[in-house]
Amino acid sequence: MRVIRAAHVSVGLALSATLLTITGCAQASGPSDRPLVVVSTNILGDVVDEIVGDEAEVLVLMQRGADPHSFEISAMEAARIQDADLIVSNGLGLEEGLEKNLDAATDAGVRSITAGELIEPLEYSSGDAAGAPDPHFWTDPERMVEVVAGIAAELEKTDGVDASAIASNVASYTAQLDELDTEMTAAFAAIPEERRQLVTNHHVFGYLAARYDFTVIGAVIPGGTTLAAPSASDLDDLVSAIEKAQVSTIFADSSQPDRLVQVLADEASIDVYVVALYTESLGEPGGGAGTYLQMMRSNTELIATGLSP
Amino acid sequence: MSASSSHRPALLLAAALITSLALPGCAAPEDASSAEAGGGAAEKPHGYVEGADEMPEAQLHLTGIDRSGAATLVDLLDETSVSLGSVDAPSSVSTDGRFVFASSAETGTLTVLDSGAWTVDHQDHVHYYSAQPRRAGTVTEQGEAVVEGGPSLTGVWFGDSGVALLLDSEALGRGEIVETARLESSPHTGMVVPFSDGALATVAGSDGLASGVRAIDRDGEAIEGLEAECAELAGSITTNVGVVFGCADGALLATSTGDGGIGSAVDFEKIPYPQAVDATDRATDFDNRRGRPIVAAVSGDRGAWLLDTRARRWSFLPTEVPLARVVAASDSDDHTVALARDGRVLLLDPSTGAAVAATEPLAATSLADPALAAGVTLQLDADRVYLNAPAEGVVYELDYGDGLRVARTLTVGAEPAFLAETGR
Repeated sequence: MRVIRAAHVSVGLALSATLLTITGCAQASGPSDRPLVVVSTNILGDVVDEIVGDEAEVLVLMQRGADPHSFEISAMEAARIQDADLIVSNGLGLEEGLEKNLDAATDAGVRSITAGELIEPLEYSSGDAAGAPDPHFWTDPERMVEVVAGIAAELEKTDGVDASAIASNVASYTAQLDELDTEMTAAFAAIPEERRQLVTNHHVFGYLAARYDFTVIGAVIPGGTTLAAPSASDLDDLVSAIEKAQVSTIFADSSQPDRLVQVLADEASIDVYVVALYTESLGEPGGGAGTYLQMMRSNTELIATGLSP
Repeated sequence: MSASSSHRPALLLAAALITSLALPGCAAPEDASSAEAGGGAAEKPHGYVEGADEMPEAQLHLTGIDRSGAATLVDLLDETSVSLGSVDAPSSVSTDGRFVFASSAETGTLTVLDSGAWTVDHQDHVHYYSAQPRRAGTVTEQGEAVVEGGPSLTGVWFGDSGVALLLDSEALGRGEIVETARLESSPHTGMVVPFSDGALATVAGSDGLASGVRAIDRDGEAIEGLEAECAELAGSITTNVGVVFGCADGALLATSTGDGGIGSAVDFEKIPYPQAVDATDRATDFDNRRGRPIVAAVSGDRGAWLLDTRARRWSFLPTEVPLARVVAASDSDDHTVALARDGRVLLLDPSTGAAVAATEPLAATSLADPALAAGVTLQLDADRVYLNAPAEGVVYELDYGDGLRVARTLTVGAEPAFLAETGR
């Protein structure tokens, strides 16, 4: 797993970017003359959008609903990255499909900043990836505050950007992140301590758990043919996790959540709700995860409701 | 998967358009059609496949074919079933996990059926696909065809006439038979196995057997210097490690040592048997859970061979009863599933060969009937193993993680004389 390096502006940047622009778009009516900020994931894309305001054009590479671990970009987008004034990526191994493109751009002298390097990362505690840094820092809004500050500092150094406008955007967005943190703290504090347990097949909530004092209990969620005629062994892992945690809601992606609920009731006499959380990708605008703030609030409500007595 | 990604297939399709439109400057924003046309394959999101939906989990299906050739496809998630039409009365049926290859020795016709369900393993993540099932096409030569499917090429070998074909697997997915290569050699028992961006084809030896393999490119051109000996070659299987061939003195393992295609780097190594093995006890009909590094094969009347292609190690499992089929399920939980010739399915202890679980003699009547025995098979995936019992007209779904419990008894057409599991 490679970590994307932050690079600094090279003297050749302006020249090579210009050449690329001319080659690619000689006849175009012209891209905006604002600086271009390219962002890898849609979660960071939303956050960067908030910080940037009207000061730059923001190009988000990862589509809504896509998987950050596996999305790849077109040749046209790869060329656009070379034109960027700043690249913002998540790092810590998240954007596997994008590493070559990002490396190529930084090698060519495009300035980049890696969010994962702006925070103190947690390590995965179990599984195949044990010991590796966990890239899903955004489930902790206070870590996002640190990331916002770090990205803003880079943005302010960008030619053509009004640093005072950025500073004002950052102040306003940081206040919203702090407010989110206050809300989450209050919502989770209402859950009795012994019930703060996430039985889940989502693998992104390590940072949230660390900040708000949850225990994450990873579980294999039976699906497909195993749900058609399940045995005790198909359910073993999940049942023991539920029994250990004594929770009434599990947080899981399941293709057949209703069937899963029924099977757990029939085969193991366990009554639970199965709730899916938003994890690694924003959804359509206006939905439960249209923005980073909405995604965090939706998850907070789902968790607080699911685990309340 | 996130909560939002249950809508992923639709989003992915929409994304292809948005990607093009959102790029300012070069393309006129209002001109969607030219942006789309100019985009081509490179504009599609990761995992996108034309005409297929990406699914959140494996779309497991069974294809059953009766002795007359009527094919039925059953969706294992909801047990719905559709007819796939009719093929020439088959003498053998195999699958690569998506396509079902039904070969008729009598007419020399190979029919390729597209089950419309498949899995693509990118090692660190997996894509599951669903598309409309259909007949992809037919090829007619002479005698029975041995087929080895791969992601880019599908190798077809007609041993009676010595004709080797390489078919374009992507074209098969579009319902077209496109030959990229056609080679003729002396008739022999052999095969042509897709490997990297080319294939490994058997080389004729004496007595109608193959004596080794050689590498060919996509167009069938031999690649200088890339060949290996494998006396009395019989049987082949592909794992995530490489391609295995059964030889008189052990296994020949071909692995790819570079990413520059078949011409750049193929490594051949021999994994000798731990001791001399009689011809009747050699491993030839290898079987595994698709891609898994441990493969199993019946050893005459004595038991089973396990070959760990990662560790390059053979182990022998003596069994109390002779086996008809054996398949290695995985390298993590050590399950080896066998069909005994008495019709029982056994779960073998991977170190001693002792049966740690056994079913009733579910396939006894079918195995005793010479007209049915050859088509009886174990089809195994990550959770279940399927056994066809054509004499009883059923397919058993067995839970090998739970003592071979019969999870479901399924109907896959009237007489599932041949069975293939796809979507895995």
